[in-house]
Amino acid sequence: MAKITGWAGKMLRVNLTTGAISTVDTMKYKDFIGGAGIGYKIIFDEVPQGTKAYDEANKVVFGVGPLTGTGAPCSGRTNITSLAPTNPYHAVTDSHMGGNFGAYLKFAGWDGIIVEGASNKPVWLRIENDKVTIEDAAHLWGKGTVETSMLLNEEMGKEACIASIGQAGENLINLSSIVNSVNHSAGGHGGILGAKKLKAIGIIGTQAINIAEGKGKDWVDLNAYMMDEIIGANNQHVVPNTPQPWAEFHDSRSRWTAQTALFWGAAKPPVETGECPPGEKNKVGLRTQKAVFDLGPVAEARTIKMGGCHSCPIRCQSNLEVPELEKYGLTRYAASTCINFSSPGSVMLKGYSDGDPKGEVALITKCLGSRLADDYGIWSNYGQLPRDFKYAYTTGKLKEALPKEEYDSIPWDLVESGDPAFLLEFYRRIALKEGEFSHLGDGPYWLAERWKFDEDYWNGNSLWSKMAYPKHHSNESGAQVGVLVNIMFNRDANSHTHQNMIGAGLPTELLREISGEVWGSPDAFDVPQNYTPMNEYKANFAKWSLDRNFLHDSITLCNWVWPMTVSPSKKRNYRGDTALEAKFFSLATGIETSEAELDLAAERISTLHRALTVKNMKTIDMRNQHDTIPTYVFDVDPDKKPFTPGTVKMDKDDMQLALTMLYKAYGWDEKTGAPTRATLEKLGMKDVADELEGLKLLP
Amino acid sequence: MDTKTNTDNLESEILEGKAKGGVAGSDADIEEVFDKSAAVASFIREQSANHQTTNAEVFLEAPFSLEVEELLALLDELKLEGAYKDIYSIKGEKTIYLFSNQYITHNYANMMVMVEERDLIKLVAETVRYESKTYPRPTDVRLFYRNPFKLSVDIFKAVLKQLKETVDYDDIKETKASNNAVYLYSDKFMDRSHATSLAEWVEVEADQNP
Repeated sequence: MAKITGWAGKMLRVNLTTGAISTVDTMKYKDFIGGAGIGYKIIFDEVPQGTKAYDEANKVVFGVGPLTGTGAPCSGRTNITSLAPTNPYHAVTDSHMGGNFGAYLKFAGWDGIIVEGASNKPVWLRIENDKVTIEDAAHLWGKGTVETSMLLNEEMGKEACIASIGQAGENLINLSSIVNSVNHSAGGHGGILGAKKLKAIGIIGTQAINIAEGKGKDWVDLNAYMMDEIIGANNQHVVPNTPQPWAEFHDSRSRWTAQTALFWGAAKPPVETGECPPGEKNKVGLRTQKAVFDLGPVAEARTIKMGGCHSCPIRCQSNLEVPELEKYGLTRYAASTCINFSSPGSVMLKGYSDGDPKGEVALITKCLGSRLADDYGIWSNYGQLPRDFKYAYTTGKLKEALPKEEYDSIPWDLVESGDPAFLLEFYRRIALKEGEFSHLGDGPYWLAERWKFDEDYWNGNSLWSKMAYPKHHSNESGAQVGVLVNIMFNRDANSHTHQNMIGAGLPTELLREISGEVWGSPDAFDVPQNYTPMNEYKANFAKWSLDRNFLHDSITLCNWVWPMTVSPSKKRNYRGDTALEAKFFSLATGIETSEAELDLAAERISTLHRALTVKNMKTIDMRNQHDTIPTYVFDVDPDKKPFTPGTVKMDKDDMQLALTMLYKAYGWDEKTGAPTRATLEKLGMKDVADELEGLKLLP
Repeated sequence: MDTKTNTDNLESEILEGKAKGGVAGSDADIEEVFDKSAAVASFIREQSANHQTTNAEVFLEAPFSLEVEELLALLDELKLEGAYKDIYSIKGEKTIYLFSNQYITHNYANMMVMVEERDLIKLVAETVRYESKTYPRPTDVRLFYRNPFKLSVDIFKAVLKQLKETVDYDDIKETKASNNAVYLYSDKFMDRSHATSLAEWVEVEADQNP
């Protein structure tokens, strides 16, 4: 038998009810690649229909893939698959975390951890290569993720990577996260570990990850090619955000912020990002000064460095020195990125005390909030948590819902004055399940039921559907393409494939040319905010975006950077290399795989996700029960018509056509949007078809 | 053709379309042209590496001390010679500018030339037209405070005021996002509604959809 490379070859199965620990052969799942793909298969096969997220019968799959930990650029992601407590049907979702956990899991010799059953007392899982034990966690229960990590690192050694839940997960708050290395969080499944009384997982891995025999030089060459010619900055933005001599194009929204006289100002000595043109691979890590992008110019002097995940050259996580945090009982160091910074700012309903959304108070507020959320293990639901708070507060629903004594105990003066100290109250009350206020952590669906929100709640507040998630790069991102991406999941769409292309910073005509080469016609790509009616090429674009997202969550690569549809290289005329995933996969596994073949595997994973959603929801009517589109998409800009310049307004009939075209592209039933037996069998999933037929869930 | 040695004459040559290079006759001439070409190209590249365009007038002076006709011929030679394919020229109002695209892109060189020429109204208008046509997008006026423009806020405001009063640039329009950020666009290439919505996206909505 040929040596298994890329994959570790085995997964860990831990039953917390019985204490049994066993191994599972990864290779029987290799058609599903890894991560999300294997997670869906295990949940589909092993979790009975009707199971709820916190039930003992639910399982959690921590999954990585054949590229995780190999050193392929941006391959440090961990995918977590389970039923979602926020979803009204408890349908399957993924949560994703960066950091080092995934790579360490591979170094320990595992492609995944299947957590099943439930312990009757707090435990943590200790993994040191092949030695795996379930340990008592009484001393950890009730502690935040920071202290938990510190205690377990003291116990295991500083070389261990610790993932844990905070108090929110322990208290079964639906909006809970699992956090590794103190600040790499995965949102939505923390409460499930809480229900299973699994506080943490600590990993020490000292083994090599093998790639295919004799492919070392090819691997190094491929890596160098990608680093020199293909990779851009965070979100695969390929132009700088200011005019620079080497750059033909620029875009103020680009995350390629590096420029002359921009520094990591708190580094000793300060590090100048400088200009980082293509071809200088050792400067890729300087391209994204994300602290300034997220927090404004005030962040420059406080930036110690840009951090990030294992094996990622992009470094999108800002590491900051903020001495003011000590006033709130925290260390002076903050590390986070993106929505984890912006979400706490949104909690401050009346703004900041200095009135400046990009000022010092805003920075302190966002750093404080991100640290509190990560320590308690609270998930913002892509910023929906503060929007729900705002809705409840401004409509008076909060005052109606809370007992007077509780309502009056909230220090509203801090909100009114823009004092960051309000965040201490906000996050603590939710995480520790203090009073009625804590139900903000239930998530939109359950909260709206409990606090009797009006129907208008669902047609605004950035919510996408009663699946209880907000929009995430929807109609404002590629019109129908963004909408189709947003209808697919059971949580907010964490698909950046389409958005990265749209936001790359290149002129539209160039992007349209490239779109023609990738999706069959330039008409796949519209001028932003000047949209055209649906066509089959947009369906190709949407399907490709989804499939690559599922692929990245399975293989694993970071979908915040991948795929490489474009590049910063003028000599390539800005063409990227969409076959790079297949090239790395082939070299890692030794299984020569073309781009088309890997895309087919991704399609298999997409379709399995769909089949699992059908099973969870007990209906095949995906079009009307799942793939719903909020009415504001069609009602926005009342004085404008769809497909005219300057509006993101969509047309209802056109969107129904778009759904049909997407279903057709997948080979799903065009009426209902459910997978057919023929398609499932074509993709090698006869067993899935048989199971759905038995449940009367085949169209 | 008269031999002219001052910059005004060079400008005239260019504007009158007389800037055609001669052909060297003997081997010695060829060798000489080759050497001068190499020296000129080397100088241009060096300047470009320092992020500066080269005003062609510099070659009329020591140490190059080229005659105008000789320089024009040499520049034509550069265009034809594969070894110098990185050397490009941009015709300004008063002279021509040279750069190597190994170090400076054509678009950036265009911006530098407009700055060099100090026709600030044209600079703003042409930049806005270019962005409205090429990307297409409205232009954030803060762009003009940055490299390579580096206008002060007061100067920019004065330029914008004059621009609005210039008939030749009456296609340049202003719009604002809801946070009062000012954007300019050319209505030759963009609809007002489109420009306004894109400005709003960049200024307000994108931050809400990170």
